[in-house]
Amino acid sequence: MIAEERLLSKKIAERDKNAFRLLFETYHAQLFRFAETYVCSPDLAEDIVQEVFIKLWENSHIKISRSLRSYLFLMVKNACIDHLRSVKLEDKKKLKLAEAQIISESVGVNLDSEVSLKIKRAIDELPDQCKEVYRMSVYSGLKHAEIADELDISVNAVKVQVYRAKKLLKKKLYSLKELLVLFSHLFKRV
Amino acid sequence: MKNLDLDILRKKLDDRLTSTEEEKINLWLESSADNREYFKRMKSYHEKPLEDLSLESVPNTTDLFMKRLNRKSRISIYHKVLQYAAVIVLPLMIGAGLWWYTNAQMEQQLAEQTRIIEQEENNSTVLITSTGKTYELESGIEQAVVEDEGVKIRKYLRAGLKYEKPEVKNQKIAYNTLRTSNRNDYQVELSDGTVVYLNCNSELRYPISFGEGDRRVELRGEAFFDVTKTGKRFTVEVNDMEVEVLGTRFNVMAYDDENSIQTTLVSGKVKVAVNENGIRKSLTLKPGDQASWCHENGTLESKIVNTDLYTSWIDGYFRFENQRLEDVMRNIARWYDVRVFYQNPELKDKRLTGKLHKVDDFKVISSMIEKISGIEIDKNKKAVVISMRK
Repeated sequence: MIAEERLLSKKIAERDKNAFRLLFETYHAQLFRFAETYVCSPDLAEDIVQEVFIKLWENSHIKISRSLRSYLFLMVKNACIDHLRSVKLEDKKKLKLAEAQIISESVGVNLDSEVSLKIKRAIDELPDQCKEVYRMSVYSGLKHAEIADELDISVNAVKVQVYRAKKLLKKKLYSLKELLVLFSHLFKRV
Repeated sequence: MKNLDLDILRKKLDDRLTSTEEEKINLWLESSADNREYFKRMKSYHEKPLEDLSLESVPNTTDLFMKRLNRKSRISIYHKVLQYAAVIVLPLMIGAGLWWYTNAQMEQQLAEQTRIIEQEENNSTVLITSTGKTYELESGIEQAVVEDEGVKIRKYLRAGLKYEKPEVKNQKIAYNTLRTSNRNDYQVELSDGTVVYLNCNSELRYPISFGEGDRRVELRGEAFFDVTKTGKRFTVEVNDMEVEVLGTRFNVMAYDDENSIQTTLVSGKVKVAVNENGIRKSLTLKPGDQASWCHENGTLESKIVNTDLYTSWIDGYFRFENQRLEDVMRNIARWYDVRVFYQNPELKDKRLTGKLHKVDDFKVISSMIEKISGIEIDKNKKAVVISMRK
């Protein structure tokens, strides 16, 4: 995975359009769902994602220290936060960030260690098969068919588990919310 | 006003607000239409079932995106273009018999002309709303530029402007005008879903939402229309001519400096109607037909053409096939906002064939034309002088 990305990154720096196309195809859906969670509009989400890719293409000489994937998510997140600011909003408790990561299945992306930790803990509490499927999908980046193959279950069953995991995680994080608020206040006062 | 915590909005959706929070939200909602719009969107997003948010159901926009990227990076393609320059077919030769203006005369004429041209420096696309407000439309992430008569106008990064269908039908028809300058083309999606590509130095006037009757827009300059079928007639008014359609793709070119208005039909069916001293003449076009209306001679004729030649501008090209140099240059001059002078009028009749990217730098285009035509192009500010290669 990482070697693949390094190769892709090199090709893109050489302005290889096919490589760029592949990059777009690979991450578009995730980035789109991620942005949509924030801006709540498919049109706007598409615009933000495309703009991020265009910026990347125009500045392809820039060295990206971490992975391309993290970079893309970070850029999209920043554009989304800018949009929220334009309507005088702020994601103070980073619940939107958690939700966006769950919906877009991009939990493994290192956007915020605090949020990642919370999601990781919530994943730990998922029912067994649900947890396994979700981990394989979001952490190992396996395709549904690959997971089905590995676990010897149907592709549909994988889909159902991923969907179930998302639903449970969303709910869990929101029910944790009041508690989290309390904690963050405590931390601030110390 | 301080930024509101997004989470409060969620609480409102779940109906779990405290009274102080309720107050905060009301203040936030009252403070701007954009805020209200966001809340509305958030509500409908919140109500969406999780099944609709799967990764598989995200529309695949790769092709569209790559197309935009290609357009966007045409400047960087320049080097490739030079490699492909050989593709451009050589033009016919012209006869001898040149005569020259004296240099002094020429320079004086140019100096006068350039002074006039330089005064009208205007380099952006503007939107004029029904209240007469003017907005400059530059690139960058922006949304919900304006709200006019209750109709949302949104600006999309690459897609241009988009008018949203109003929820409540307006009694009054309000008009907006989109105006492009040189080196700018622009795309607008009207409230019925019709997409119009407006070429440089053109103007389109249209209702911000179409009423119950026919759909009517007014054009100056050049535009390509991709009309959505709604069952209602769509009419483009151009000077003393009208193009009537139901749903189709066609191009109308009606620049003031051209002696005829050309309507080129790509698909569907259109009717071109003119009004000459009270007598109405009309022509019905089939795909591939091009109608020319010459007001001066009062002629309305049609011929079969290669439609690509007349619509490639929307993809960022200048295309010409065995066209006179003067006609080719008129097109190019509009884009770069330059005036062209010929040292010898016979040069105007040279025939050219080729396809050029609309690169940002005039020098690139001019050197390509020099290569294929055997002429020399000199540019001094906004004046371009074409002479025989020495």
